[in-house]
Amino acid sequence: MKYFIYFIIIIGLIGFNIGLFNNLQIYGQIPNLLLLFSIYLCLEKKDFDFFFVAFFSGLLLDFFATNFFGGYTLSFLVVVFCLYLLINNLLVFELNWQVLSLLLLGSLLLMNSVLWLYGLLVFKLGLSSEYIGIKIYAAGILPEFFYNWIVLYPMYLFSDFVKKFIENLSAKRRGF
Amino acid sequence: MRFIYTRAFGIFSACVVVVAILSFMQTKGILDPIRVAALQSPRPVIILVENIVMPIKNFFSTLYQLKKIAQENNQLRSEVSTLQQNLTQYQQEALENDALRKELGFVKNTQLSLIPCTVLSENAFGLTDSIILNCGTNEGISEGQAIISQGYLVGKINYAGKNSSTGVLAISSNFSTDAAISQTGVNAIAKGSFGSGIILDQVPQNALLSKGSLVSTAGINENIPKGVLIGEVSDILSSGSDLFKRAALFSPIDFNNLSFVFVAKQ
Repeated sequence: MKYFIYFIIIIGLIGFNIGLFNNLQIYGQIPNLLLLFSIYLCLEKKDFDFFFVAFFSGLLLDFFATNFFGGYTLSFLVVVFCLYLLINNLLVFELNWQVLSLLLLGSLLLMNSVLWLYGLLVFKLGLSSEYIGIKIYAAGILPEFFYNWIVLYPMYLFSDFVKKFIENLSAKRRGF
Repeated sequence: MRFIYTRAFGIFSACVVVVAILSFMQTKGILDPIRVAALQSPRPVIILVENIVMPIKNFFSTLYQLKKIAQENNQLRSEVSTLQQNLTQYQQEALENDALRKELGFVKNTQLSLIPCTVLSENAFGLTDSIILNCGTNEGISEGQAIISQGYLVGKINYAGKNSSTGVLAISSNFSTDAAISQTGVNAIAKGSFGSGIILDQVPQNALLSKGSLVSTAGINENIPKGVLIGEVSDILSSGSDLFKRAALFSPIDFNNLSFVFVAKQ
């Protein structure tokens, strides 16, 4: 059931991303609500739901994107996996806005790097006739970070709500 | 490298393998139906959100563009003003061109020695019955010379300065010159008549004078060449009991709107 809810949320978020933020672009950039949602789920440290969310979010973005298929899915998976390793093995921190901002910046850099590398790889392999250069990713990183940073807290509240909703749902199913 | 043995790495690796398989399937076009479904799935949300957002966006977009619209408006006003000025200039030039073409037709067919002059000051509202020309003694103008436009006598020079001169128009009451009826060669006097046109006077009673007769200069005055058209008889003013015959002359020239004239040198 919770995976179905996640799926509905992913569709809702991408609809929101396109419907709302496509009309409110800042320097041609829109926030990536799906990435933020995946990051928040990853920070929870409870289960591996974030893999499911990252996978399907990336898959849906790949269907929408004109790049070679798989770039977003792979980059989302790499981001959440690295984040998971970081917070479970290396880093002890308190979740506040400074740490979240830093994690967001790191995630965006990693996502764009993977996207670029993946594009370059499929281009070199002859699977794609074009690829987006690193300069284009680099030029968009600051406005992208800024826009994502603006919606960081609203997305935190939303993710928190979703987590509690799913916990309650699971508790009811277990009979508590 | 311990993380390789974790469950997370296992899930991650499995996901990567699935991505690779899906990418392969996508290149073969197997995923196309799923892709179409995936693209359509968020459509209700997109439509709903856009219906809410678009009016707000349009409102703020209009507000944001107000300054730009005002600037464009000012710029367009300025352009309209410039274009109106240009249009006026073109119309003026068209009129000048028209006048020059008429003058050119006369110049080609005459043997007279002519000095072209531009009218600096027209006979505005018919008040002064005189014009100021942009040529003077430096160009060979002297007092008494005939002013001609389109082959018709329009006046004569009554003052010649170095670079400009003043001419009295043929419709002025101060103007008079010798004239001759072309058909008969009978001499008479043509003179202006208080703005009502040109009058042919001092025509002997026994001379033949009828409407439509052409009247030109007689060549008695040494400054005014012979044979320059003054006008045509439009009306006989005298009666049989008068000592001399009088007639009104019609000239096709618009004396109040002269732009270019010629001064005839003898």
